[in-house]
Amino acid sequence: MLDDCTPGAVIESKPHKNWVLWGDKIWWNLPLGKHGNRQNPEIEVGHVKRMMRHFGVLDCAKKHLR
Amino acid sequence: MTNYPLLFGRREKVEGNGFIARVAVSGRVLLTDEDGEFWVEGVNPGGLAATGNSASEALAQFCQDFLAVLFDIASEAEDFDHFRDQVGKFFSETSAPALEDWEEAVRQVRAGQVDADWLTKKSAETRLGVEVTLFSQPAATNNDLGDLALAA
Repeated sequence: MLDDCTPGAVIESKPHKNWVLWGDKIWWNLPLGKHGNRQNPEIEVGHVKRMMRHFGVLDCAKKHLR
Repeated sequence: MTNYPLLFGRREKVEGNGFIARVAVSGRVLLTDEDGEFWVEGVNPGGLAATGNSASEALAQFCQDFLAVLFDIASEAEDFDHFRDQVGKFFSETSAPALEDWEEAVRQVRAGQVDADWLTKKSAETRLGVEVTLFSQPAATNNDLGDLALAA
């Protein structure tokens, strides 16, 4: 979804959260998931929706989210 | 779905590498009740959101997540100036979609269509801002629980 809706977006893992950087915008608190710092944490859909809304690409994201 | 426009004040102390900083924020958040699922979405600062099974739970989680972002910024700040600049960037990044909903919610509060009697009301035009200062003179008078109000 990120590749499609926010090409070039970068996820940076921090001690407490993941930061998602896209252009001049940052989403500062993508959760690490219930099991802590994993490569592919479970991410609640609600957080992703709001992140994509912040980036201005929610319509694109809805194609991927259920 | 009901949106509540809130004014969000927090005073946090953050330890960085070689410094202790005080961060005082007067910002805006959007509290949304989605049929019993509560979300708090940052307007200023934008770029973060939290959820809970009640308004209190979502707000508490947002405050914790806000602090976590400050800690993460501190973890890689080279010095106090770098930390201050990054916190300023964090706060100033407004969420445009959330702001639009926040302003509409203010209109609904003013029209009497939305209310939250568990919150005091404060002018929606209250000055926003973030202040980051070097913590050098501890004093009990600096302690601050923060505040939350319904923007009206």
